[in-house]
Amino acid sequence: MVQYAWLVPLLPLVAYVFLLFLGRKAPEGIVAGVSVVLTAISFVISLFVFQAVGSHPNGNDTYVFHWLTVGSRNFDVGFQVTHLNALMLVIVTLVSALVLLFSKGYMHRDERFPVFYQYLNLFVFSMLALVLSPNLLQLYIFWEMVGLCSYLLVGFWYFKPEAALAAKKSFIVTRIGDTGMFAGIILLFLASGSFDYSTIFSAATAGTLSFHGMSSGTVATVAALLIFMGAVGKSAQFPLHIWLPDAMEGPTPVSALIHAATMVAAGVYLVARAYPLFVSAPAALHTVAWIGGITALLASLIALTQRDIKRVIAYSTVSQLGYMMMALGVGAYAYGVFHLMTHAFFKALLFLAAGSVIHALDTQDLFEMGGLRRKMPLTTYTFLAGALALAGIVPFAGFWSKDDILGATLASGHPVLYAFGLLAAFCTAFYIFRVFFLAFTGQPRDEAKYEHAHEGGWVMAVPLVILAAFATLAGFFNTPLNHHGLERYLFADYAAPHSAAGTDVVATIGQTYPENIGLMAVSVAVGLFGILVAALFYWRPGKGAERAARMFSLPYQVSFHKFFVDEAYEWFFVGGGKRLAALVRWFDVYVLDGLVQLLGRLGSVGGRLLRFSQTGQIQTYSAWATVGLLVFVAIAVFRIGGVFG
Amino acid sequence: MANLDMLHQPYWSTMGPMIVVAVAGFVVMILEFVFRRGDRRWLAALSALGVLVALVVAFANWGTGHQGLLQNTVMLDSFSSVFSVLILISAFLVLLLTLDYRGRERLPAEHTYLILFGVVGALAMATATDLVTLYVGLELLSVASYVLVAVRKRSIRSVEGGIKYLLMGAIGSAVLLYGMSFIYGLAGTTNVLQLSTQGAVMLSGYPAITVIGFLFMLIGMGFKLSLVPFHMWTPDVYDGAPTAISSFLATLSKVAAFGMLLRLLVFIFNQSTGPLFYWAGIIAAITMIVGNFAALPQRNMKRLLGFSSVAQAGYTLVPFALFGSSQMNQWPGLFDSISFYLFAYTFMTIGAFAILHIVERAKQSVESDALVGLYRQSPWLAVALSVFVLSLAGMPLTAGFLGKFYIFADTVHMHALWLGIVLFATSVVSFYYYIGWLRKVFQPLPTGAAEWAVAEVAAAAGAPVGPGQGPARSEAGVAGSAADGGSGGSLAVSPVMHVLIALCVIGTLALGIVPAILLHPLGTLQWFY
Repeated sequence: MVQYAWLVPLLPLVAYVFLLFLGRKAPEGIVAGVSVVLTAISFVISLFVFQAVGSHPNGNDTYVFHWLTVGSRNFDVGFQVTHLNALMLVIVTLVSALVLLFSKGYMHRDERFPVFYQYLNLFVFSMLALVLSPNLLQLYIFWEMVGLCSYLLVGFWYFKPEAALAAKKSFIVTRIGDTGMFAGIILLFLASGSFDYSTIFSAATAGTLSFHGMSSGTVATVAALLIFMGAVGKSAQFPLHIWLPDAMEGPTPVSALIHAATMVAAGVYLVARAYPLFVSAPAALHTVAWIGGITALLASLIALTQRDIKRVIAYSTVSQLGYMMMALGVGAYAYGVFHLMTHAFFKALLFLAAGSVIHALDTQDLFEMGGLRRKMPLTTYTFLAGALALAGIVPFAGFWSKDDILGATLASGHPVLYAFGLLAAFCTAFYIFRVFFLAFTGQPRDEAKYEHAHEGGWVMAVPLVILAAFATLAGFFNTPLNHHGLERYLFADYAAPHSAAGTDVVATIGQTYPENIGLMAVSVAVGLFGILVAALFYWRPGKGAERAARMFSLPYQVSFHKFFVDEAYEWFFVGGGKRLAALVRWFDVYVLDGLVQLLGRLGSVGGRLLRFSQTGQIQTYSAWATVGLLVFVAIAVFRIGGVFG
Repeated sequence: MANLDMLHQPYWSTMGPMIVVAVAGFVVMILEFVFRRGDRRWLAALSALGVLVALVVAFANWGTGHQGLLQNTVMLDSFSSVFSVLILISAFLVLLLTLDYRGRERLPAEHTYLILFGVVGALAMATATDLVTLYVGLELLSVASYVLVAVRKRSIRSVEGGIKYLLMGAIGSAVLLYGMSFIYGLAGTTNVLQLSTQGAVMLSGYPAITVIGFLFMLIGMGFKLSLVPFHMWTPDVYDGAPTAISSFLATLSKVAAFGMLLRLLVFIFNQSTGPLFYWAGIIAAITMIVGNFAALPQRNMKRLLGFSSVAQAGYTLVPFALFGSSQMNQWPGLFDSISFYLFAYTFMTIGAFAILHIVERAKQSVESDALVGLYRQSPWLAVALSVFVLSLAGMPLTAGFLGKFYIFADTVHMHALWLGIVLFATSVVSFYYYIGWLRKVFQPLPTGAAEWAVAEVAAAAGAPVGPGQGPARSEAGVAGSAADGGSGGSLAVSPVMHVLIALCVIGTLALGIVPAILLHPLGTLQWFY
């Protein structure tokens, strides 16, 4: 079964090409039907692959064929199935299939409905191909394709200036990270002679990376940090987190697919995929942990005060991604990936439920909502399941993964990070229930909008229900009740005797942390406390919000303005960039352009001159030819020493 | 008993493709004589089928070692296999293109078997290993080409092109034959395999005569390859000939000539390449520069493709020149580079000519302005043309880019960087005129000049639109034929053309994205023995 894993990305690509040929006037039913069915088949295949990889433990199956030869270097392309990416395939295809189904309702009657599905399919293909890549070069290609699709989808409503701006911002900010990542890939290639993961990992763990006299450890650290830059960009970690909330200008299914469950997970996936490299560079690993912890806390603080329902959830994504990075950074490899999985489900659920609300009300402002519980019960209860999972309340999915992470953080000797995590957990419970209470309970704040609110039909309901089930139950996949099934599954990548990583690296990766009932209780208590506080402020309609804002005026402003990060960037980078650009422009206009103009003139003058020789007279042609022949022969014979020489 | 032996030689496995094509040629000729009436394009289809069979035979012979025949005047080896396949592919594509000439613009049916006999000559140029046999192959191809260019008896430009090509080709043949006679005089044999052991002796004994012989042969072939300054017939002939025949000259004829050039010069002078092949480098550089610069002010697309083919011949000559500055163990790589580039060149050039043919028929013009609005008319043709043009210019992800890249890498590895720099710089120049086409393709029709499109729409709606109603009739110069309701009014594309263009697009992109599909089989070949 594993050898057919290439079918998984292929089917969305087929859907994309098919839609491309159908054109822009294709009927919605066919467009959505083809996309959903093909992606669903991909999902089924992924399940089989997942099962097949699990059943034979030395599972690093690589299928490559020769692609390019440059000089003496050979480049291969192909696909590689490990336990990690088999899991990713399942997550991505499941969430994608549901989002594709949901979009049928959400994008109904959009003028560019088929185009939207084209982009979505292309995106799903890129993401799956990224996951299956057996080497960093191929990963980078699909990484950029994912970025491109994200640009297209965020800017899908390009006639809205905010959407166009947000698309541009997301593209540019992630590009900053990608630049570093590309440098890291090149560095690894120069130091190890290959783009292949296995070659790089064995060189890193054996300490044989070499680049201009730098020690292997230094190379590994620098390369890991550079690659982490790419992950910071794509997974919206501090300080490059600023693009993700703006990217909420895209249609909501896009937010669910790209900015919650899959694309932003690519950064976390990258760190997990390159984990042996990070483990052999402890300094880099520490950086990952701290960036993750800071991001988790900062983003959750910002989320406390946002008014736009999607922005709250977006900051929540940033914060949760921070948790994942922190988990990877402190050495809890399996827990980071576990949280990636549970988060994919409950975050997609929250976004889709929010989408359902936005679809019904046509507003994203929390303070124009309220009382939706009565009109949209299904959305309310599925959202509640997602919110409980996010807040980490037992037994919802988020509880298990988040608690694992917090426990491992403390057990691995990072009390400060643990405190960050716990504080962030409190904020998380608060902000998500703030959304819940504001949107679904109490009295409607905008009667006109409330009047025409309604559920979105079965295509929107089915994904919500399925995701709610996963958000509730997926956590049991890695509980003591299940003998930590996911951990055992993921560690199998490194348990095989031919594992590319060295034994001490394997020991670090394979470390497990036993459950700590006390810590669990603390987490749940913190979560419940957060919910309680939110309930106090927002459950009953009234002045709760203003009261809260007045009570904490200064912190409220700081949080509401997102810690002024955007403003600082605006002033420093954009302003500085503009001044630099003015200088460069001067140089370009007066020096470079002058040179180019000169060359162009020379070219056209040369061309005109040559045209004169083209008389159309055969006599001229043969004369030129004869003269040319004689000149060549004369010079050649002279050079070789004459006829008699 | 030598005569008896001749009956028992493996003709089929060595000369199979040639036999198939020759038989197809005779069959088509007789059928053409028998069936005088109606639409006789099925003859071309039959010819294409024959070429396809020959292609299968040639593939079957691929990589089966080497085998001489008829006292080693014909040789089956890697070299002949690769070039036979290349020649047959381009012949097949050209025949598909001729299938599209119908109605008033159809070609006289003789062209089908003339093409087939030309292909026999081309195959002989790729497989023969004797100066005389090679020359006969060349003449067979040349004579067929002269007639093909002038196949439109009533078109003055077609006939003029034919005469020009005949005269210049005759000079080329004479020069080539003169060069061969020097070599024969020095070595006393016409067999390339025997000559190949005597190159060094000739050069040390009679350096001047050897150089003269080498240069005369190179320049003699240079007329066919349109190397500068022996290229001047090229734009006139490409412009005068029917487009399908232009593509025949640009691809098949050039590929065969390159095969023969390599067979003659590399095999004969393999021990003394250094001082001789230097001159090929000079000619390559001049050809690249002149070909690209002369194309700059060109507005006529067929003439532009003529100059472009001059430049492309210059690029292909670069690895040929590198035989002079490289070690013998690097030579297989040079053969790979040349073959790769010729494959790429065949697909992109025939594709470009095919689209040019469609546009020419629709607008009765080959000025580059005729491309304006193509994207609106037919996005598929516009995208396909973009692929071909970008490949000719050398954009990444196309075959043309990788072809040039490999050649450039060769110049770096083999200490002839100056040739690589000329290649690179002139490619940059070429972007100017190629991108100029693209600009026109994606430019919307100016409101006034959209008449032919309007006429088409009106015709579809059943409302007659008289010629000359539009304000811009004279400016566009195309409306007459569009409204005449003649065969060539609309941008209608026959299924055959769709197949042809799709094949060329696939070839261009596949070689650009996964070059291993060609490089791998090339890499397993043994070029020398």
